[in-house]
Amino acid sequence: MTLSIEVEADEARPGHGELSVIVFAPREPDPRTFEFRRTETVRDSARAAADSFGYEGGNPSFETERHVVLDRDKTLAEAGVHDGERLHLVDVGGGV
Amino acid sequence: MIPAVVTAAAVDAEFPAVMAWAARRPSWAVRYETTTLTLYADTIHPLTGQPITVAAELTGYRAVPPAWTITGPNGSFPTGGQIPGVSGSIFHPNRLICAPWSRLAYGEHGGPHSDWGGQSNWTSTGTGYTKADTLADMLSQIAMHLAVSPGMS
Repeated sequence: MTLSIEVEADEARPGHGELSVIVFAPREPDPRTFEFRRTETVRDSARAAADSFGYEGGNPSFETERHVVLDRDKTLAEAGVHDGERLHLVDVGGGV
Repeated sequence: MIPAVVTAAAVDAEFPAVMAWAARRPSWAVRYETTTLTLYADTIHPLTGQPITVAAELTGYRAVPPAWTITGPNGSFPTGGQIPGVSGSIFHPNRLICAPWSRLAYGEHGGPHSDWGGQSNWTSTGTGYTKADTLADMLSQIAMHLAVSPGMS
């Protein structure tokens, strides 16, 4: 079971096993706040965030503020995502 | 042909997101020249520190994708790097951005992809490849791949 809830930024109060993250999407000037289970995969949580921002298709993932692209197969906890972290939506489909 | 006023309106709608994206990245500065319908983004190569100008010539946008170019000192172009979990770089050895959202990647413009069904399919073709449907998303992709580029050549 996954938990992917977009919340008002000032209402973010994640419970045990959950975390709140601030997600920036290139196509929107302003970020949005989401709550995810720590056991949710990067793939599923990025997809949920991308859907919320209106992205269709593609290969969404998260990039950290230090420009590290997260492994989509890891859980948020395994990927080292912490409560309150700022993440950037990116597409990880390649080129060439 | 898409009238220039239509392209200008599309760019106007997307420009706040472009500016916001650049504002979150201190090493990037964007500007738009309305007379030439060209978006410019000035930055530096993150490894070498060389100045780079990324340009998107937007004639016909959004019916067709932008014609992206990247120019460094002496006409140099970023070399491709590897991002774990990403199949390949968008920086093609032929010195173009190889992506469905890059006009110059299509066979009709001399690019390597005659298999994508033509440039007018740019938002739906190339499943599994990089996907970016807005100018800010495209800049994001360029920045992500530039972050792992080993240099310019």
